[in-house]
Amino acid sequence: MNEKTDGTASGTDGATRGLVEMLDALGEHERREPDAGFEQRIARETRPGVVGRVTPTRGNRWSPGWVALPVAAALLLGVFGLWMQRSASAPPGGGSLRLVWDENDVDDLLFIDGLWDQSPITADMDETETANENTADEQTADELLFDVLEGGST
Amino acid sequence: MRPIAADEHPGSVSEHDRLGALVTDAASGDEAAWESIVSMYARRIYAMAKSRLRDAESAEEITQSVFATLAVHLREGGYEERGRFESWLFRITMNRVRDEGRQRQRRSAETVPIEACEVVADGTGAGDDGRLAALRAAVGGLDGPDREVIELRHHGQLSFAQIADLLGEPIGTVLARHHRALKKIRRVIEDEESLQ
Repeated sequence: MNEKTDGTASGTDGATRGLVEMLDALGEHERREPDAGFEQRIARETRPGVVGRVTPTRGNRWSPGWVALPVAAALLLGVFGLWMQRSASAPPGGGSLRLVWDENDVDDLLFIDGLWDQSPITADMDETETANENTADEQTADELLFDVLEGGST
Repeated sequence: MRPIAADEHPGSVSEHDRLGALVTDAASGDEAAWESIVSMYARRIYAMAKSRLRDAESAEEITQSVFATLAVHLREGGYEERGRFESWLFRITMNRVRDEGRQRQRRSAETVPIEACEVVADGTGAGDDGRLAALRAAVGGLDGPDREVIELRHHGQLSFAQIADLLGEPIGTVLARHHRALKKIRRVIEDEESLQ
């Protein structure tokens, strides 16, 4: 042992001291177990000058490229998502009028509601009447308003 | 730089300085210095790993792994000599042994409880072998902290001051733990002897 006090405080009985000696003997037994070439083997395979490592570390496997790739992918996805969103919200090409109004815009709503009353198509409509299959009942509200606004009926 | 012999332990200040110089030389590629360091600590590390893992092959692998880690740190300048080389080296050893032990538990493959694989002294074995086996079994039955103190002290040959520094505990705590571990070991051995 490398110090005088071996953990057996003053007054410790001989049995404990004997146990300490047995434990030291056990340690010595384990230390003597490897063969004679053990140290040389370990030294040769692990010396600092050796390029190869027995236990590879993961720290050096990271490089800027590994970080740039997912970042670039995330950016592309973001741009693509924005483009998709804008494409979906853009009004379609000519041919049909798509009505979009702000639900808080009360004036517009009242105007449109008034058009319904003014329209010659709808003015004569009676809720009790049975609509012809080919009359304005078949049209959607959007189509009716389109006819009115585009001068289909004045 | 005179290599320090395998049985020489850096207890004095001058020996600490020599060890520090040895480590510095090894870091700069001095093969003789490296071999000296390995010869000083390899068997101590092996004995600690063997005590825990009960497997010579694994103990040698652990030893090689510890020195490989040390070599990497020295080569890359990751170690700063502050006179605590041994504590640092055995901390690496303890961590490797714990990691291996945990992996074995997860695999629950080859690690057989010491109580099952060791032949406890039953009076039929050779005297020394039987007593050593009983002692191994008793040490194996200790809980983690107590066992570590026993192994660091008797297998790793560290001083109590070094053990306290390594574990980050007061030296009084380490001494008390060692004493408690001795009492437990003695109780186990006496119980075994009384059964015979």
